[in-house]
Amino acid sequence: MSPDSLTVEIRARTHWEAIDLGLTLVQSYWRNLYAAWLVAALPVAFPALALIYLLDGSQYGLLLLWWLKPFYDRVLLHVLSRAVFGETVNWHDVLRAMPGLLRRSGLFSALTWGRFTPCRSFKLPIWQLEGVTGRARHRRLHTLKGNGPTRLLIMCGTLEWVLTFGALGLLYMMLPPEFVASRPELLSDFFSADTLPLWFEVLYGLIYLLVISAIEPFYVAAGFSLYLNRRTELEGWDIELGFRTLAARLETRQTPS
Amino acid sequence: MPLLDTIRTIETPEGVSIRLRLAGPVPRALAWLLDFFIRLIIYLILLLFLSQLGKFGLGIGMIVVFLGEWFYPVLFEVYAQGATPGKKTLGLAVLQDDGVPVGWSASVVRNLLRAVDILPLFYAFGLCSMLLNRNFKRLGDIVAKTIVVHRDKPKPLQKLPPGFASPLPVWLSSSEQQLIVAFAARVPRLTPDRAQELAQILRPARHTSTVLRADVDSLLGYARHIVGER
Repeated sequence: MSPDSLTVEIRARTHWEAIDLGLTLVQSYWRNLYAAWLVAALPVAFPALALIYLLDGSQYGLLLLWWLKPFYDRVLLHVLSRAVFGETVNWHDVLRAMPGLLRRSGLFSALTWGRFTPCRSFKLPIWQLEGVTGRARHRRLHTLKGNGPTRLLIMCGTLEWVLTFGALGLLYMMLPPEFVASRPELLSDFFSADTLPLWFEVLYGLIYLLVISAIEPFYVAAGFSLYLNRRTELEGWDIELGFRTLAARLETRQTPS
Repeated sequence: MPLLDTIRTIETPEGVSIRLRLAGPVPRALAWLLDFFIRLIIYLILLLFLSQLGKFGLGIGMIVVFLGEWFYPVLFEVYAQGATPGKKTLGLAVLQDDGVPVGWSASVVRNLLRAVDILPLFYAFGLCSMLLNRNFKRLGDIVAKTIVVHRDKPKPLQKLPPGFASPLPVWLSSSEQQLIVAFAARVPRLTPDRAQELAQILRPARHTSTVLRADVDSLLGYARHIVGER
């Protein structure tokens, strides 16, 4: 990975600015990202929603949607890591790259003992793009990690709740008041799932799917951006680009034109 | 295509370009949370005293909460360089789209429209708007023509490692001089190999009389001279 072919401006950023750059990345590459998102998330979404319906409103469907986030993350980062070098990846390419992504990006550990790590999206580039393993990978993470990634996870989790409650609030605003009044369990029993009607459980699954569709690409992009920022800082990428320009300038100054 | 960044450049009528670094939903949400807790604590303390006064106190309390909810952000934005305490902590500030400090009308408009951004619950509309808008604006920002920017610079200039200072053998523009100093300040955090590799970039392709000596120690020397050490 070298900084001069990046489509992203390389400069020293605060870690909040790096997180914000993640949003700019999503806004700029949303077509590629969401094409890949459909490839990754739809095959999970259908069984998950079906699970909610068939098991009479069980939470396992939601758990499945949530648990497989590391899998979607890998697909998103695959697209993003190429997009920042000006390469467009469509859904054909994603399907073709899928076997490699499943096997060579530490997916198994990420879905099992690594599922609860607080800096998932920051670790991901090290796992997936640098191709280091074992002890070397551990040292690498130790070198790069600050405390930005954990804050990012907490904040993205919060944003997911904001959107979830926002969607539910919108739903209640749109439902006729008589309907809501005739079903007080919709409001009072929200957290005790047993008594909620089945259609609401399925709808809630759908809302959760939409919410993670909105936040997960941002979470991955912001983690990737934090990673790039940290490498810029530790390896002096911004200095490298500046020195190249300076060297070229000194060169031309000395050759008579 | 220009390189992707969160910077918006604004050209003033005097021909000066100002680079504004936009702030996105994550730091802004945190700043809002901080402000929320600050107000909450103030209300609780006030209500503790006002509750002694019975119904009259309750009435006063409700007026205070009303004024606090609507004018806390406005007053701070107008009188404290565009930053409520929460925004100040996160290093953020509100500006108008053209980089001018926010005035009364813009601030009142953007804060009145919180009533829309806050819908349906917990600023969900505001968040959606920020995620979709290229300048990370919530609806109030769009209407009031304001932006929220980062005021914190990445890092202050660190002290250069001590040593000799040597004058530059060639003329360098001020931004190029800043680059040499930035390199020098970064040297302690780079690996020695990487620092050497970076310095080598400046090695000229052909031999001429006056060039920068492209090794780490010489560049450190130039940097000390640039920042005024002799």
